[in-house]
Amino acid sequence: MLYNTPLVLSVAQLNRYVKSKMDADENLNHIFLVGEISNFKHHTSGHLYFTLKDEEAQVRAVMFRSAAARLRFQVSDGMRVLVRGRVSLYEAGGSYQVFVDDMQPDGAGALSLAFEQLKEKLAREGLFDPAHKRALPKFPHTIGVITSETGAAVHDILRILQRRYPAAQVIFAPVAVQGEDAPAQMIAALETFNRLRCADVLILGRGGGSAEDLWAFNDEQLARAVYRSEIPVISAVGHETDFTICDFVADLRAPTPSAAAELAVPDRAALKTQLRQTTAELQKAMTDTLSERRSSLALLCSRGAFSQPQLFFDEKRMRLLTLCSTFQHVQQTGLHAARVKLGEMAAKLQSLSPLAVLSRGYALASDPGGRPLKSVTKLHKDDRICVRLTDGTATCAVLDTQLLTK
Amino acid sequence: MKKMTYEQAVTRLEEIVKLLESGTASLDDSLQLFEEGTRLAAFCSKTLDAAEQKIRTLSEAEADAKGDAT
Repeated sequence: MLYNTPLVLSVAQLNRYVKSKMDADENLNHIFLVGEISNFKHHTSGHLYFTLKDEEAQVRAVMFRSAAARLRFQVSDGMRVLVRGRVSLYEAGGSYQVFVDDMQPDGAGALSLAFEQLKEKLAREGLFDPAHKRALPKFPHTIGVITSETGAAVHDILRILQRRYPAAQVIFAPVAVQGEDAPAQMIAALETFNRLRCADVLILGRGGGSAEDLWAFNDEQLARAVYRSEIPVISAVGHETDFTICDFVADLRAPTPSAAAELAVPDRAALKTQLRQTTAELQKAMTDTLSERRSSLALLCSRGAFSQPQLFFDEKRMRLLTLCSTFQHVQQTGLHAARVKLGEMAAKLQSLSPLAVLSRGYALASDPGGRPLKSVTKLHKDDRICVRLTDGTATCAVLDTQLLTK
Repeated sequence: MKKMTYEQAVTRLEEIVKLLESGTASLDDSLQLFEEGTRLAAFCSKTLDAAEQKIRTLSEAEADAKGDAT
């Protein structure tokens, strides 16, 4: 048909047509792609431009600023990456390219991507929050060990616990640490420990293995169970370089199972040294207390009263004597003063007595009732009055009264 | 005496040493504290020396817990 009626397209029309074909293809709308980065350019606009290639081919790729902002690693040429995105055509350039939404360094491929995604999700939910992490008990009484019965990890852990701190009991929960059942078994063990409250700290882990072998420790539900555990959890998965989701959510991450055992318990030898020191301090404190009391007692005894009791009593006696004489003196002088005062008082009384006046020749007149007479106006001729002189009384009759004129 | 943990014993022991060092306790109390401290130190030492590491499985612990409950 094209031969017969040639349809002439513009370049733009062609590109738009091809683009629409590509956009309609669901397979191209959501792809994961692994490749090596080359021609990497970080444009000032914030977009990333690069080429993804492998041994045989290459394809252009762009990651827009909004997606690039979420990247958590530095992109550079030669890096192998796993990208998620869609394929479409850049109409103006006429080249098809990958529009990248997300990109991870390609370690374990898709597993790595899933790991990063889960890690980010749980971090956002706060499962790795340092504030949620519980402190390990200093001297755990019982240690729960959740690991495989057959692996080397359990032997490493028990050997180190035995060497460092045999006083701690161990409760061992044998579980599968890899395979489909592993997460569920580990969750069940965590929950049982928490329900029974039969351990002070838990070690959850396994020995080294491939990324796939360790995968059970990246299980989301297991991570949540670790987060929920009220007993502190030490994670110990694989080797020092292996990181799992469990490591991030656990209260403490140990690089290896052996290290977990060392972190879980104190060192007996160090404790013994410390205990010896404390015991010595206790004895010294007691000795000091006693010798302090002894010396203060000695000081007390050396004071006058105890060292020369005779002096003490002499002194007391002297004081008593002084007191007695003072008392006597006071008493005597007091009596004398009182006597003098009494004399004075008697003399005074004497001088005031009306009898003393009578002795000087005055007379005291009173009516027959004994009331003193003070005026002549009340007297009449022949009234009887009584006159008192110094040595007796005379009854007299009134002959006449004269009022003195003043 | 209620079963003491190593931590409780060591904490109390250190407290006693401090009390004795402060010299505020009466002689009677001091002697009693010293006696208690000596006992605690012996307990701690014994706890550390308890050579036998006890290992049980979780299922045994669970069975024990059920046994206690009934």
